[in-house]
Amino acid sequence: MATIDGEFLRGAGPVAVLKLLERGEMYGYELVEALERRTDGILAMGQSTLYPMLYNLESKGFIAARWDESGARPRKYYRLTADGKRRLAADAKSWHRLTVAMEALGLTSSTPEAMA
Amino acid sequence: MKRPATNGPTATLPTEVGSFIERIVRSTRLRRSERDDVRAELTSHFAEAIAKGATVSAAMASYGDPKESARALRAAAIAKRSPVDRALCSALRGAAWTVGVVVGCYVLFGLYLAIMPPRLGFDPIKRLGERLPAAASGKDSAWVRYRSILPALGLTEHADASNQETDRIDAGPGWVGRDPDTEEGATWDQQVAWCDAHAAPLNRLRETAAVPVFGFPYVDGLSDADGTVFTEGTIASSRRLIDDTTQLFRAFGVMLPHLANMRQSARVLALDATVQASRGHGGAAVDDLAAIIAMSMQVQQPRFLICDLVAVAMRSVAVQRATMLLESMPDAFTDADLARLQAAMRSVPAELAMLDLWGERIAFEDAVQCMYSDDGNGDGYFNPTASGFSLLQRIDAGGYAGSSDVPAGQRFVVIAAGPAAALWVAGRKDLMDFHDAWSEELLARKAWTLRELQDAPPTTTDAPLRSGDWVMKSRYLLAALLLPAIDRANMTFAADRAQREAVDVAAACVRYRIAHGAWPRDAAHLVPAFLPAEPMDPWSGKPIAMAGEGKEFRVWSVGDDLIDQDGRIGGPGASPTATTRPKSRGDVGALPAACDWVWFAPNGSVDRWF
Repeated sequence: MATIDGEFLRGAGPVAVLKLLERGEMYGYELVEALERRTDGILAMGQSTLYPMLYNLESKGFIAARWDESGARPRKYYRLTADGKRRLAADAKSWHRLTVAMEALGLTSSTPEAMA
Repeated sequence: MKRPATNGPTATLPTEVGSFIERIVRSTRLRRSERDDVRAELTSHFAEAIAKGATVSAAMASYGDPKESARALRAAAIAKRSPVDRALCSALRGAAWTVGVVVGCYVLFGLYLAIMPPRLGFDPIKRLGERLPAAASGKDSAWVRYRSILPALGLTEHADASNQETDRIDAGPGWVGRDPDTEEGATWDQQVAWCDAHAAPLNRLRETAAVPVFGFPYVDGLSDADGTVFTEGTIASSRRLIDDTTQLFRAFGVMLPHLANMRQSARVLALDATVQASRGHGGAAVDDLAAIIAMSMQVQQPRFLICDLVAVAMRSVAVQRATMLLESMPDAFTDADLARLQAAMRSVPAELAMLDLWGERIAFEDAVQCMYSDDGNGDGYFNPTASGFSLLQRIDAGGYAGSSDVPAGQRFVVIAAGPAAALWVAGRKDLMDFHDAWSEELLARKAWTLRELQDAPPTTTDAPLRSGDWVMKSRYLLAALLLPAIDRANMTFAADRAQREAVDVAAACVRYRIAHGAWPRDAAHLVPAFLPAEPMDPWSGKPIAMAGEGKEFRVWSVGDDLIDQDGRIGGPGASPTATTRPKSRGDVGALPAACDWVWFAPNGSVDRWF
């Protein structure tokens, strides 16, 4: 499955991370795996991109982090903050409107083959 | 948030992964705590990847480009900082850049100065020689003759018996019946005997004074032939000055060792004039006095201020002695003698009786070329070498003497501070303009009378240098150090002119008495037979005052206080109310501030001259 190029991912990546954290806290590598697995590889971003993105979200107050050393390996867990939840809700609406608009233009369909 | 304590990323990971992480962390160039955060995060990331089965190379490959990652991590970590922190960092970065740019420019300017050291564009000694009259041959040069005459009169630098004897004669009373000036001084009889014994060299001295070209070797330097007058040390110093063209401030160092000998020659001639007049030989006395005037004009080749001042001092010896002799023994002189005395007093050309500053400009320009770079258009930066700067310090301390070796530390300071000094100190053209304005202001007053000079405000160009204005003093450093405080020089020349006119008038009065058997009633009676024009009081601007009969006759100026005290000279027990000099204050400390300047008082006493 081909991944989406950087420009698209720059807007979608943070929303995707916020969405994944909506269910509960996750550590960095777990997020990498989840993005690849749950988007069928479409939103699998370079791992080097993920951590700066997490720092940015943290600096904006959308997520918070904590270190957990109780396991075999120390892990840094990220969780959604109240601001992050509001941001996710707003972004979700924007993405929905975008999807509807794209569908109205015939740019989106159930399968890529249908687009051809 | 508490970060896990680590012993470095390599503690639990394969070496290559540890190095990979370290490379990213180092490349972020973040603060230590931020780097530790990044290191811990990436260590956790790779530990998870390897624990979940990824190979080392696959884990590193899937991570992405380490450089790009470091850049993104740095930007994100900085974004996490507080706004104040970011603003502070930004300001510091800006300041660092600014400082860097300034330092870079400073260093570049320093390099420019290093490759543009002061360049000697002209030889001040040669320039000095360009305006000196040249003798066609050795016999036309007065100096060639003087150097054989002066030893015969004991007027040399050598500490021999002949010189010591002349010094003893010079310190004698100068008049019959008086005691010597010092315990070592000769008696009047001994002075008379000395003059008689030295009649031949004194005659040659008078003859040589008439030679128009002085011919002192300013440009060529002293030679062994000058050893008759000067010591080996003086000759060697002169030779060094001429031969070593790399010396700094050579024009300021021009050797003028003859001035002291010439001045003493004037005193010896004045003594001989007294001896001759006392014998009734007025003509011979006039010969001596005229010779002094002629010698003074020789000394003014070249026109250095110090030469001018010595020449004026020599003329002062002549005019004071002439007046003393006319007052005490007017009968010793014939009309022809007196006419010759008047001619001698008028023989000094106007240009030699005024400030000139020609030599001073050469010397200053030489100092500037030794201390400034030259852009080829007359401008440049203050850029002294370490030895040049050391010389300036020695001048500031009061002289040129001292070692020219510069310690390494001081040399470094001069190099390091050079660009700052070059930017602060006035540029070459600016400085020369300042010098020219200074000299123009002084020269504009060169023909002023004593009265005009007395009433004139101080010169303004150099006023800041004489005050505590450290900004001007430091910006015009060379001017502050080298330009002489010569506010009074014009007054000195004006006094010279007035004093010689006073003798001219005194001689005219004696001639009038010879012709008419009585002293003139006023100055107008002297014109045109004995004077070309009615003499004016240089202080009041009115005709010179004269009054009295017989021994009460006197000619006087009201003096600088403008108070007419009837030209009275205090007798025994009375307060002196007159001076023999043009100005009562400053140079005649024993006299009251207010008094007349008496030009001529033939009362038979010489007390006022001693």
